[in-house]
Amino acid sequence: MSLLQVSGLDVVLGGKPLVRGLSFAIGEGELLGLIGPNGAGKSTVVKAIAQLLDHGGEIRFRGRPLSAMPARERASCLAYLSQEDPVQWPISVRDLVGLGRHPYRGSWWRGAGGPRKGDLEAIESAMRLTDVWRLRERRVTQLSGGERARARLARVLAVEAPLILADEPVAALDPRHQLQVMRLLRSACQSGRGVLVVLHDLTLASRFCDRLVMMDRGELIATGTPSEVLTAENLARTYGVRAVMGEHDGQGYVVPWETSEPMRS
Amino acid sequence: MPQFRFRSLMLVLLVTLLGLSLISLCFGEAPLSLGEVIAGLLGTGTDEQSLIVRQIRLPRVVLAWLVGFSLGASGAALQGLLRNPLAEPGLLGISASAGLGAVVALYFGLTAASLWALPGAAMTFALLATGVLYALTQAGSTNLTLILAGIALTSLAGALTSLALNLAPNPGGVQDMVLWLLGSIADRSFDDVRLCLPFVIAGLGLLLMTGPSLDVLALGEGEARTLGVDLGRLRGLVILGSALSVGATVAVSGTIGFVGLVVPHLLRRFVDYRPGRLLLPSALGGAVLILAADIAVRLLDTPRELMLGVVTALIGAPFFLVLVLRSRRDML
Repeated sequence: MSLLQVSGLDVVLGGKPLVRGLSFAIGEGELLGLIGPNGAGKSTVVKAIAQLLDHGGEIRFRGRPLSAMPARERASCLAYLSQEDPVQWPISVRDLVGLGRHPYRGSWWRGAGGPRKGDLEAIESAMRLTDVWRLRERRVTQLSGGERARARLARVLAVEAPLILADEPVAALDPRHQLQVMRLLRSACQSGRGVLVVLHDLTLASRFCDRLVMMDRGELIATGTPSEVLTAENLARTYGVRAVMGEHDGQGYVVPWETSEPMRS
Repeated sequence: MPQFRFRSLMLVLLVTLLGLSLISLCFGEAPLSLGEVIAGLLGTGTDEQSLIVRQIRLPRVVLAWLVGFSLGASGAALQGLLRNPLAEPGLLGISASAGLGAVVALYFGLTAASLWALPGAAMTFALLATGVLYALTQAGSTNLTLILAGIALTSLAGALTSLALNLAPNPGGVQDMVLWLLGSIADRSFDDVRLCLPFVIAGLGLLLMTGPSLDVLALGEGEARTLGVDLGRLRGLVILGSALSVGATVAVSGTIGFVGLVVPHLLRRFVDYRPGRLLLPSALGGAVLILAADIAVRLLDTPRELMLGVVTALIGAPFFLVLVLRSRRDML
């Protein structure tokens, strides 16, 4: 059984269909890349899976419909990293990561004593993995972009959820931090976790993802391994670009080179 | 370490609160020594001292606590919910609307019909105002529009209040209303305390339940919801809690502004900027500030005793201006 099964996903927002009949699955230990041009509906798909949007079709986690699951239980099954970076208050990195343990707190009056031992271990290991342990006393507002991205990722890892949904986690990062975050997501897939990551960088998608889902205007264009999906024809059709493609150390790279005449009317 | 700091903060606030309460009991037309106040409280002093301390001064102190708790806690909760350090019951029009409700009750003579008419009207109007703000947040408005809407609500409530005063048939009644609107906790009795106590307790209870969820909301609404925060319930708790506690205290004390703005801002750094952690210290801090201001109005040598609401506004408004200027600089 796959970890997450999305079948016939439909999302309509304000009378406008944003996603139409999308189906795909994420297996255990799999890093799945969701790619497509701006406005393709990638973030909408992620939000629908996270149950932040009303949707048609079915989304099953280990065979159970996510929408029927109590919010608290769902919170420990999937962890969501949003595209924007809206942390409002200058809380410390430690407190930020600690918020990932919210699904496991007792009731509000019992939770007043602070994190328990298991929580502290999860928080520390998430911070060590993402290399923000030495930043733990810093305020999130004082971090650089790369540090903040890692701290937010640590927050997501601290949930210890089997499924991670990351909406463009490398969008604002320099190349070094992009590679670092992708490697972290890759390693998060060990021990049977599944990760869905929205990406714009096609080389990162090609190098790090097990499989890709390519969508355009709310519909599925192609799905399969990176080499199956990232073909010259698919790139021209969805992105309207011609790309330089090749292999380095046995892994594919895709460098968009010039615009082609898009095939859309 | 953070646990330790939190407890020290609470201890400092509690000790300050109790100390100021005793000092407040000493001041008045007949100055009493600390020993006489304690004797009066315990009932071991003269009958006169007991009467002054228990019947005249103690209600004032207890009201200061209740008003401060309500304003401090709801200020902190609203700031956490709206993710904006400028949110405050006074600024968002909740206090002004409660004041309008009370004036309407006075104007139509509803207070003669029932003792509960005044607090009831105040809380209903406070609830209406918070409901409008809630609808605006639902509609996805930005924090700026929300604050502007709060200012509009404040102006509207103010205008309608003025209209009521303008049309009031009896000039004596007008003066009563105006003085009451300025905000004061002088010359109150335990009847006033009893009138607002149940609602303040209920409101504070609702507000204090929101702590953990407000902490998580620092991540933004989407991530908070995927962590199991029920946003609808959270909004409901904060709005109902603020409306109940602020509405009820406005009904007995008039509108006292800026406490809900200043106190959370001053205490935030001591709780590591965690919005949920801030609730309880902010409630205590609110009471400390109200008590201190209430002692100050009695110490200041003015021809007539200043109204508490006037003093908090005099201190709070410049503070608010500094806050706005500083947040603008941070954005640049």
